Amino acid sequence: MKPKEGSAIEFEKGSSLWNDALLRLRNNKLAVASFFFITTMCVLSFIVVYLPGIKLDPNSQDLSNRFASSSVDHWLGTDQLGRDFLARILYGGQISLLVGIGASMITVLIGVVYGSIAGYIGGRTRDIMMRVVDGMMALPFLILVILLRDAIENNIKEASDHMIHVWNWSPDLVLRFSNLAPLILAIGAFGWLTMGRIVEAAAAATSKMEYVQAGRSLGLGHLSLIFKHIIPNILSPIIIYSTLTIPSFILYEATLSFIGLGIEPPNSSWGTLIKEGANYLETALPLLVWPSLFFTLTLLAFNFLGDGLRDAFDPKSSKS
Amino acid sequence: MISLILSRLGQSLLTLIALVSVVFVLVRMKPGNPFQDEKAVPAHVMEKINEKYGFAQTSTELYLIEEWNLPPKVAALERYGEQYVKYWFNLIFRFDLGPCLKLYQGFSVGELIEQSFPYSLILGLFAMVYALGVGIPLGVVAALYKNTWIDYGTMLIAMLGICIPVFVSGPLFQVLVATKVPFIRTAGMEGVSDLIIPAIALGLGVAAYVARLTRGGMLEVLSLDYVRTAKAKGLPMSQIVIRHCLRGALMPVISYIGPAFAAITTGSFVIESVFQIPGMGQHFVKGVTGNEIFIVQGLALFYGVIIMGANLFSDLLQVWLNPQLRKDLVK
Amino acid sequence: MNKRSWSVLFLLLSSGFLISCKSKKPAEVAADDGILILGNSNEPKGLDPHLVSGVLENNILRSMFEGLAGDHPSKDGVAIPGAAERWEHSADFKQWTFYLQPEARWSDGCPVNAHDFTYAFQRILSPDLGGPYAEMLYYIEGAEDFNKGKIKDFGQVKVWAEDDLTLKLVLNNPMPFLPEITKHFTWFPVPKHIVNKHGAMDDRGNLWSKAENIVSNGPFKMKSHVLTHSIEVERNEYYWDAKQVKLNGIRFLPVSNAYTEARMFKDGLIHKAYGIPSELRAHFYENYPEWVRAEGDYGTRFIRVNVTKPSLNNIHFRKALALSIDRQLYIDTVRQGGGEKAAYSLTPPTEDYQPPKVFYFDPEEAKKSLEKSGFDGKQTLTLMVTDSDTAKRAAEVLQGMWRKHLGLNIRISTFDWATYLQRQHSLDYDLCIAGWLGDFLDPTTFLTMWTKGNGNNNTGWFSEPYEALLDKAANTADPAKRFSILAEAEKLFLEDTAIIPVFWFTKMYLLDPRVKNWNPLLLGNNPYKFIEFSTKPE
Repeated sequence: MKPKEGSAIEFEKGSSLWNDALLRLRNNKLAVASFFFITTMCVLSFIVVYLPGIKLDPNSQDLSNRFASSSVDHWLGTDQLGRDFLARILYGGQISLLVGIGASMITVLIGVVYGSIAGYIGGRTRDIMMRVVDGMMALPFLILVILLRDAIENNIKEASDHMIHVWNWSPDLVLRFSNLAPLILAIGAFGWLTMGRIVEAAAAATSKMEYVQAGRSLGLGHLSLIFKHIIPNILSPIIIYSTLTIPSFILYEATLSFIGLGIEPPNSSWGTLIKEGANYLETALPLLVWPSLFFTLTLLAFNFLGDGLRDAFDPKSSKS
Repeated sequence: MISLILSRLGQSLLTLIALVSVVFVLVRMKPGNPFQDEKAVPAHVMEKINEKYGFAQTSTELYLIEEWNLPPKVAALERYGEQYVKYWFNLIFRFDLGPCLKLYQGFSVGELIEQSFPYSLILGLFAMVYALGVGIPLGVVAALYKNTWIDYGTMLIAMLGICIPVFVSGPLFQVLVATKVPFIRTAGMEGVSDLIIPAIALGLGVAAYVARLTRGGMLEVLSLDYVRTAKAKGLPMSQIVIRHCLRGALMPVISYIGPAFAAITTGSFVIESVFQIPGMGQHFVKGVTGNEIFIVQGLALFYGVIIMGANLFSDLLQVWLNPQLRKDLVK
Repeated sequence: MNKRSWSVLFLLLSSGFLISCKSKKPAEVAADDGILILGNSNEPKGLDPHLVSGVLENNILRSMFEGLAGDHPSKDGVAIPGAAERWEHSADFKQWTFYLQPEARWSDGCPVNAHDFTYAFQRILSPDLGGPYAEMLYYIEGAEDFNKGKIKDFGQVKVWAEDDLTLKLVLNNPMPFLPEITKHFTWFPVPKHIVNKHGAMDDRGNLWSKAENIVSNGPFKMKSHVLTHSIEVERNEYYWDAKQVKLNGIRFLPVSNAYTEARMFKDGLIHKAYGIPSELRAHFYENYPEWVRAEGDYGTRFIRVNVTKPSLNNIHFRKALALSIDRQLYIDTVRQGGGEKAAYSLTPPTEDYQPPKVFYFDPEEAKKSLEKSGFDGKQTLTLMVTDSDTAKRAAEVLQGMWRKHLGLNIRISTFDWATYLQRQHSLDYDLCIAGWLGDFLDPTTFLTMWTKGNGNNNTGWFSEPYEALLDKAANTADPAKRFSILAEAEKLFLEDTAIIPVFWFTKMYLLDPRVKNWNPLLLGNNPYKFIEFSTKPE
């Protein structure tokens, strides 16, 4: 959801819509704060932990120092196996942010294109397209995940062997990410269904609006109608829904990692940390509270940023 | 309207047939055998059972593998063909979804659904009522006080629902509420009242979606001309909201409640396990992990019906609420 | 809302509290009624003793059925009269005669006779039934051949009813501990008249064991069964020893979530929790020591090694893996105060059998062994586990130890249950965490599975001298001599390190202090007929 660097140039030469939007976004303090929070989170998780001099090892166990409380050595204490909890949360952030943002992007891409085309065209085609969505919703995703998991296990093993022993990559890095791409693809491939339905409904309603009908009678192409007139007008549910799917995907990763698709132990993600932390509800509350806090704050930031974007890009709100 | 419903039902039927066919193949591709257990079943016994339930390779199949070099999973399609026909035959003429093989011995999949679905349905309905009852007012309030602290506060409350996944909210409710309050049971299912806390735990996340989507929809509608006119006329805000805004503002919510209701009734596995509710979600998960082909097929079909029913319901509601779409239909 | 309605609401709420404070907890009410409520971890797969193989099914079946010999309420390995009032054996322990209780009745009032036993044995051994645990009867001469279809006539299996109350058996080998075996549910009788009423004897789809049909010969009979909700049994008035039975009924709850179960116990909803999740053990030890029970168990957690894989086919490499596990530290961190014991062998030691001491922790020796193996480090081994939080934590600890002491990088791979079993079975794994619970009190329950082609072996390991030793033990009637041969066999097997034992199980559970006569037993088959509630409050 955050603007890419390249798009800044487009803002300069682009239409006044982009300039207006950017301006409105800048004036929204909460959205700006959220944007900085997310950026900080990304920097902390992806860059700071790898800086020389930062001694954060998420997987080094000290079994004699388990469940330690916060101290100078361990800012957030240690977990059930004496691992530094801050390190586990920050490294976990890498996985969770990648999964959340990556899978959401796939979801938005497929869901918006599919849904808006179906909603715009209508008729038989729409019926077929939407029944495909219904059918896919009813498919037992769990079986597909298990099948995928079993099918790729030996390939992943060979691939990581190759990367570690032939290419001499760091085993920590390889084992942390080797299983991640299939997971993101799997979530993305099925996560878009509800998005597709929501977009379809909104697009169907919008394509009945006068200005779309007018555009059609003016002889505008279908694609330009869809992308220039329909999608911008249904941005609101798209942004709201996609910012909400980020946390569900982050949590879903924990469930799928549990049956082996996704991250492999001993690596952590926010989802798995929260899931394990729930087991310590009576005995070691910080193990649940800290990852939940990082997760919740990040999620709130995504949603407030989403709101800001929605307000900024909504063509209707520019009138007010 | 009736022709719309009929055509949708026809389409859904075709989709269901396709769904069952896909699941039929998928569940047989999964590694493992329903009868295998931690303590191994002796080979000669396994052979007998496999023959009886159609898990053993036939001679034609072996021929295809050896002579045609087909991968075993492809050659197995030969054997599945007959089972496929038999499955449909039993389903259509005997209303029989097949037996449970290893789990729940002596029960049929039909009995399984009959026993467990009422719990899942009531749980789902409760959760949905909670989600809509909490989510819509929160969304409306937030939209009316857009970008104020009231807005942020209500959205914060709503969003906590998503941040607290069921595997946390369930145990949290147990520890904070059930073990403290004497008349609330920690877990177990002795009466409908035992479903209230699980339903809230299940509905928290949905409520957040509903609140967010309502807020978004309200903001759209509030900026429309007729609402501004109404405001300019000096109508009280409550009247504007109820008479003029809600119908339009709830459109995104309505297209969401179909899939949401289906997801709640079919995906309550964690809540069932935490609160010890004899619902359907656990059967599906156990069926999948235990390779119970008939349970998986039967429940996938049943879930398909629920999902398509819920989606049809939410689509019809949408048509009914949107004059534009209704006009189209009449044409 | 005005003042008055507030006060009405307040009154209503407070009266609700008062009523509920007075009312007793469900477990208390049940105790007054003589009903025992047990957490039983999961829904049983079925109630047909010939078609199930698990512990939780056993827990329910033991309440409803009774084998020839019964369990002693407080002593391991002692058989007391069950469905048989007494028994005799020949000097070589090969021919046995069981004299049935003349008063014994099925729960529908029909007499239990020797034909019900022969019928049950024939049924479980029928090839077409596909009883997964028929092996438990292979001690009987001819049973294996009949089960494998080599002989068709059950008359050739050496078990017969001399008359209605006398059952005779001839065994393949001397078996001084046969009465122990007859306690197992595979040896339970089934009601011939009921089974036949509901279909063919060897039909797996026979519905005789469904709640509405089942008839049993034990202290309790079926009352109700609601799927994944509860199974309730009630006193069987026709039971021959009904006077001894103190409880009016038992309710088995399939609570699969261990955390929920512990909280239910705390909330006074059940009398016994099946287990205590390791995360909560310290919590219960500290706050509710009077509830916690930790007792020896007859089972072992071990790591299965696939000896057909490169590197793992090297004995020095396997030894290095075994030597670098600090078992006590593992127990402290993974089990968290469960009182488990570090395992130096596969079979847990008992009074009669002392297993060889093979495994210990020695990082220095482990390093040397790794060097000796010539392992070049150019391979990432995978440790396969099933999808549970505890298994994951166990794998992480092992991974950490191998990394620390040997510098190995090991991948952890989690799979769903069926896939995990399938991959073990097809030897499609490197290392995996596994476990075994003994079915009866004899080391053979741990040792016979490592023979060539045995379905529970799954390591690719086999050895002719090992199998020769097992045969020799089977033909030795003198118990002491037999145990020493078995110990020799176990030593041979363990020194090859096809499995790496980690710890011996401990049964940890929560028990209501009101429950009397629930004594520590190694197999955990506490006979329900001796259980009662203490009359005075805690």
